Amino acid sequence: MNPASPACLALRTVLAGRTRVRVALLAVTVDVGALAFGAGRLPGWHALALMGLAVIACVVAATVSLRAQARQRELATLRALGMSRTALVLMLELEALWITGLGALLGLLGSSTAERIAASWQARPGDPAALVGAACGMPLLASVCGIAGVTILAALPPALHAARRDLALALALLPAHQDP
Amino acid sequence: MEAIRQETALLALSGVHKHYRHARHGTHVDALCDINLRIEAGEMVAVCGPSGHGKTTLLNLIGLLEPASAGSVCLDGIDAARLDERARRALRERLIGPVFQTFSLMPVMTAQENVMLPLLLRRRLPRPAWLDARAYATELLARLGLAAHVHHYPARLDAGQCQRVAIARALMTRPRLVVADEPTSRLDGSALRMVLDLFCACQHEQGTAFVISTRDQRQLHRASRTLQLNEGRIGQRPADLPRRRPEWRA
Repeated sequence: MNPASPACLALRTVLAGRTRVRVALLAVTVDVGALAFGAGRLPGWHALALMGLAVIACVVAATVSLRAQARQRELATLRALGMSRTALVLMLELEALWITGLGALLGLLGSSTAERIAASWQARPGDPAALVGAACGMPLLASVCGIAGVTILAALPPALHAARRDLALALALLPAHQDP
Repeated sequence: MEAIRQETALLALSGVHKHYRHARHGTHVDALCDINLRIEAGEMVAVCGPSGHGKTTLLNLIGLLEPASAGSVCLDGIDAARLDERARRALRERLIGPVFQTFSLMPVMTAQENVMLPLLLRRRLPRPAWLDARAYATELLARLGLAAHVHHYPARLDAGQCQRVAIARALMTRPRLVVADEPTSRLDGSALRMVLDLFCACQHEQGTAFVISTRDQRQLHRASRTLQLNEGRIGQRPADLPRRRPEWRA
């Protein structure tokens, strides 16, 4: 696989990321986990789900914006060496998708574990399987699509802004700290 | 694109001005005034001058990183001012190898991947070309004394090693023009010699032209021409600059 392809660069950057990536991952994990655990159990969970998506949108927009700001010189270098603006936007979008994807996966795993623990405490044999079954299928697909859509939309404005920055100005910046 | 070919020199700047608007006062600051310059293939031109007098701006214009406010910048006979962003990028990819003052290596890529980056970003390479590119990247790093650091990440390299990786990256595409902003500022004697030897080899074997901003006397000795930039204008080379061959050169 081409190590400079937007998908590969995005994944490697996310895996190498520190504070901001971890905070974003944690936020999405907790958010998705809480929603998955509360779905169908809490009254008015549809409204809570919408709030959860709004939280994810805010986390993604802030993370992409801050990371692009901190990595202006790196992004400008990629453009100066031949990366197109479209590929740059795609790379930042994929970074956001990797973060929310990993966060959603961890959140679902966490909520599934919590369901099992709760079911065992309440001595309701058979419930975990039903709950796991309820989490699969159309609701799960809809949740994944919703989270992905929100992520793409939320990451788009900061990604476009980052791709439009002045090359010469960005390259003249002093080296930033390693962690964006 | 053929229709707008104007010059035959590899690089021709005529009547180039660059001014910026002062962010706070809104006044114009003239960074470059009336720059006229021609560079032929295989030349090595050193640009020297005090800090803040327009060296980096001149290199940015030559490297097509920013447009001139007035005048024309012709590369390989093509006036860059008439090109849109995409065509300018294509021209930059085809002709120019940039060395940035701050190295600008990708922290998530190894030294070898960083060197190959300009090729990797451009297109899907077929496997034989990929292997050739990797071998050439390794060869460039070895010629710059970094054979043992091919798979190291920039965080594990010191500033001089990072600078040599950035130089190798600029030479990776066998560009016709290398635009280097203080490429030897962090190099000691032996590393500097390796870099200058590689530059000379590229000059003679591939006809690569170099425009180098530098304050290093040892590098000025290897240049075919030296331009003195003062307050945004090209002046004469200072008379007191010694022209003897450096002691370390055989």
